[in-house]
Amino acid sequence: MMPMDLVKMHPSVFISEVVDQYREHLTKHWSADLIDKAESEHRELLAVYMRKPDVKVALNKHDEKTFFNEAWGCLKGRFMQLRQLCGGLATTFLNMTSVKSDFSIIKWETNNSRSSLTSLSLVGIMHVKLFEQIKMIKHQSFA
Amino acid sequence: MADIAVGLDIRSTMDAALINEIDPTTIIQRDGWIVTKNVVVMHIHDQGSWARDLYNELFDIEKQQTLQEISIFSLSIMADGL
Repeated sequence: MMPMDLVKMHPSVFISEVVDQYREHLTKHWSADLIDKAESEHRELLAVYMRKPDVKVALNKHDEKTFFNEAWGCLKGRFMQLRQLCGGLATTFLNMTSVKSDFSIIKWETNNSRSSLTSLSLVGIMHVKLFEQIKMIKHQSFA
Repeated sequence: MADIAVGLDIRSTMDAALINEIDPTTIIQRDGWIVTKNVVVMHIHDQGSWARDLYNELFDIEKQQTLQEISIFSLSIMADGL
C-alpha cells in the first residue's frame, strides 16, 4: 500500500478496512501502542498532504509504476510506523511452499495466478477463486 | 476554526432550508450552529481504534452525553469565533 492510496482514505476507513482486517496478525508482532502510532501517522499524513503543497505534488505524481521505497522515500523518513505496516502487507514469500499449502487447505488446485500472491495468500486465493467463478458465470451468460 | 467547521461539518442555522430538512433528534444545536450526531460519531472513529472502541463500549446514555459534550465544545468554539 502506497502513500498515494493512503491519502485517499478517511482515517476511519483506513482503520476499518486496513488495520482491523489484519489486526489479529498485527497484534502478534506489534504492541497496541505501535498500532496506535501507525493510525496516528496516517492522520498526520493526511494533514501533511492537505497542508503542504510540495508533498501533495510529489505524491500526486506517483502511479502503479512507482516503487514502494521510492514512494515512501519522498516523505523523507517520516511516518515510519505506517510505512512498516504497509510494507508488511506487501511482504512476499521466499518460495511458494506456504502458498501451495494454503491452496491445499481449501482443497483447490493452484493455477498461474498463484505467482502474484503475497503474505495475504489466503485472501489472494479467495479472490482468484472468486474470479474464476465470475468468469464461468460470464461465459455461461454469453453461451 | 475553519478546520473544525470543515472537519465536523458544522453548519449555520441561518440556512432555514437546511434546518427543515434535518430530523431534530439527529442534531445538536447551539448559538446559531448545528452539527449532526452522525458526523460527531465519524469524528470519534477518525481519532483511532482506541477512541472508537472506547466509545462503542459505552452505554447508550453515555454515548449521547459524549456526543453532546464534543458537539457543545466544538460549537462553542465556532460561536465564540475563537
